[in-house]
Amino acid sequence: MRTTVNGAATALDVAPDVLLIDYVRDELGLRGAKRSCDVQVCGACTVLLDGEPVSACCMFAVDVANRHVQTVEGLASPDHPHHDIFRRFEEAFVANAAVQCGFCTPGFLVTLVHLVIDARVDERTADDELRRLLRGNLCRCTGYAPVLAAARAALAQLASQQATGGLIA
Amino acid sequence: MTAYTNPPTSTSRRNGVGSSAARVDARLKTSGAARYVGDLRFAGLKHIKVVRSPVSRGVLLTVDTMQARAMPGVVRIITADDLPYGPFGHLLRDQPILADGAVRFAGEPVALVVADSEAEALRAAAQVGMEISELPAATLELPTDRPDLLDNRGREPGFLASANVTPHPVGNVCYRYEHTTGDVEALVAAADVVVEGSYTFPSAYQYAMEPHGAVGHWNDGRLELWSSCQHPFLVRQELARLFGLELDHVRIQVPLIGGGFGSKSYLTVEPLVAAAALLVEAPVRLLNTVEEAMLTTRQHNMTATMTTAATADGELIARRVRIAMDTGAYATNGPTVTFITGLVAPGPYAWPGVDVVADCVYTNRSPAGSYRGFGASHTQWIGELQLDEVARRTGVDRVELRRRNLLRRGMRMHPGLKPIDADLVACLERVQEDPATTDARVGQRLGRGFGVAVVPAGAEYTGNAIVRLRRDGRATVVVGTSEIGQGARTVFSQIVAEVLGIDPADIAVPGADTATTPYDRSTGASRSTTMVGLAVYRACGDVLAQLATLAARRWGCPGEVEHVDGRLVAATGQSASVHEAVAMLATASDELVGRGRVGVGDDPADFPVFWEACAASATVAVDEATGRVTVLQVVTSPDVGRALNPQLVEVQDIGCTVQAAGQTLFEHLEHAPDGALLSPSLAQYQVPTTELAPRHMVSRPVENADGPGPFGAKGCGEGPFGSVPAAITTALADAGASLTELPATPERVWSAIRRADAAR
Repeated sequence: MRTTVNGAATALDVAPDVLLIDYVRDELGLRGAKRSCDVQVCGACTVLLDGEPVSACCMFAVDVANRHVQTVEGLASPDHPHHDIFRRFEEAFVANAAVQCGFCTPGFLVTLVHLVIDARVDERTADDELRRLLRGNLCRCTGYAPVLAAARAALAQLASQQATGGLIA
Repeated sequence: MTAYTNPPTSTSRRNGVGSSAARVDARLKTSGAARYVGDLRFAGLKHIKVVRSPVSRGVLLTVDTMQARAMPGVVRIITADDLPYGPFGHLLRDQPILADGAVRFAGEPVALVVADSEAEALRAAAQVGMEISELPAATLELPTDRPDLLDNRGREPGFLASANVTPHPVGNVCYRYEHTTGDVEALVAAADVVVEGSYTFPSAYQYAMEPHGAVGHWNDGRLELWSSCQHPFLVRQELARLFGLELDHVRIQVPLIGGGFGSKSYLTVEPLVAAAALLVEAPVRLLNTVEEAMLTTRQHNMTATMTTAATADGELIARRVRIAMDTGAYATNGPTVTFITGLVAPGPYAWPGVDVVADCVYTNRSPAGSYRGFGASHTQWIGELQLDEVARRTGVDRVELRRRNLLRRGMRMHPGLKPIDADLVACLERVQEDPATTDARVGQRLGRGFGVAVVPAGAEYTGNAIVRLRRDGRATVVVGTSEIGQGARTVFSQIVAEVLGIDPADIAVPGADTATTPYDRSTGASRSTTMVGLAVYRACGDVLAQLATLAARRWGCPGEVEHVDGRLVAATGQSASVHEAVAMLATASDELVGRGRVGVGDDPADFPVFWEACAASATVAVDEATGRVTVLQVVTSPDVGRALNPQLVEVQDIGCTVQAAGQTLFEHLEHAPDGALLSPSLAQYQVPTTELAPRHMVSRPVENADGPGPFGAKGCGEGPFGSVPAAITTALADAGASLTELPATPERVWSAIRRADAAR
């Protein structure tokens, strides 16, 4: 079996009961996705599967055969087609102190980049809606306010970037 | 979002003290490159799964490992029979590494399966059988002296036993705190207003998103361990004792930690890993799942009665408190938690009479230990609720009542402790600056509440740091502090940047390593910035003194070089920046090594090191039809002395506020009557989400630069655990829902409103 991980074709040579989180972390060495709740509520293990966020802790690796898995490492790579979106959120997370212990951070960033690519959020998204869309990512350190502030700041920048023809200031 | 009354007075260097410098580890964490203990790779690593007792209390008759041993990939099955080591515990040595003849909580480790892979270990663990003859379980509600509920645990004092926390050998009470001042009986009898009540406080789970984990191996009779622990030096000490090793034959390294909040204090999985690594002669790893982390440590549940007596004009005269803390099967940090809880139970007010008894009680629930702000969380909400009732009955405004009776700087919570060193009245005033939200919808009741709380912080007046300044102008800060998310590495970098004028980008702060970093008691009790930060500050001073000597020698003016505003200046007129001065070292790879020590010379032996004070106000909306509570606004005012990084202070404060709000409103571990956990995963245990967190939070620190830390800093980030539950519960009472039991679930709130309406 084969799969695509962060744009690269990859052998998917795993036992049928291996979880996607273990395949990604242990077999591929992509350790940005974190294992926490194991029951699909915390979002620390979030990766994109064919562009949709999934909890890698609750999927079998064999189920990603012939599909495209993207992890935080992929989004953080300058080669990624949506790296500019990732970088906006990354910079906003740093500037707004939305990173503390960091265990939830990759999951939040993967979710946020997905929401922008999928046009689910923009700078006009209401607070309640943004909160609803992010409820699947838990953070125990920040109290969420810095994360929401960072998301807002990045969305505003992405909007002005779009208005100026896609140039990153 | 935040306005600071007292902005830093000195002009700060770029990214120096007083600036909101970006975290030095932020980009490592955003990119996924940050490494936690579960991310480390080791050749030939074996994996541990723990087999746990399904029974809360009983005689462990047999452990059957026959089938499991034959499973694929299994290296070894370990039971208590393989472990000739005594029990462990830093306060009381009462906890066996593996259950030995008795099980004392459902979830207690009974056997370890070591296998080539985690999956194989898990499969084999399911094949380990055990025979247990069940016994009735002790609970907080049952008498502590019933002979049939007493377990024969060891109670030898551990290595941290102190005058404050000595064992109490009677029945299931393992520690008792008692304190009396004044004739409370007479004061209560003579009081105009007496408020009394019985209260219940639930057990929360800390939920550090990274569960406990450790990797260990033995090399030539020496133990090397990588662990997600908050207190590596205390772990080293206890492991050395357990395994009969010299201290320096145990080496603990701490990578980045994915949150702790007290759950990674003292020993957790380390004895299991050390024992397994010894027996299989290979590197082994144990990563708790969240479900296992929940059984490893939790917060104490509590029952309490409280009496508050006051005069008709609102003078507080006496408080009586009786507390029972459920520490579960083993003491762990329970005696300290109980000590602190008893100590602050009267609240930060001036009482002519105080009578407190707090018991730390063994039961057959899982062990309870430290959780953020411990001591303040359990009783401050009760005391503040009773103050509101005093205000209602006397007609004195409830804020005015607090203002009049609050302890002032220099007054004492307890005759044996350091006087109050915080400005509590200023904290109370600051939380009223924001107008209450009036954003209620139809069918909602609004309520506003206030809370003031203190907790003794800093643990111990000690700290060590080494600052190595190389000739190339780069520095390394060598400290034994764990980076747990609090931003210790960032703040230490800022201190060095401030004193030595180095860009934080040129400063490295490696992780704690007991072999190479100097002793630090613990990462907790809000002590890292205050105590270790002070040691870093002094180490920088030591570097400057050496530089002055170096420059004096070079310039030929011995003893006459001073450090003036970032430059070394000689009486003869020559001057040099720190960078220029360090370049005077002869060899390119040479360095200056500065040493900083806290807890010597003129340093006080204060306990506490400082009082962590925090006030809070809260506005809640209560849905009348359902009892559902929405926290519209929380304003907190911690007294932080001086915010070395205002942004980090703010996010610590707000993060703590949300955790405290979760605990007040919905977080609780459900236990069966026999003590077994009924909410065993995050699917049942609700923590705050983006939707459930309070909507609007404001942090308004008080800064008087009066802390014992560098630049007048005090620790922060735990105070809201006392004041926020108090502010929310008093706000609920203001809305007509006076509770005696937390969390404030919709059902409890709805019932309280109905009861109050019926009584009207």
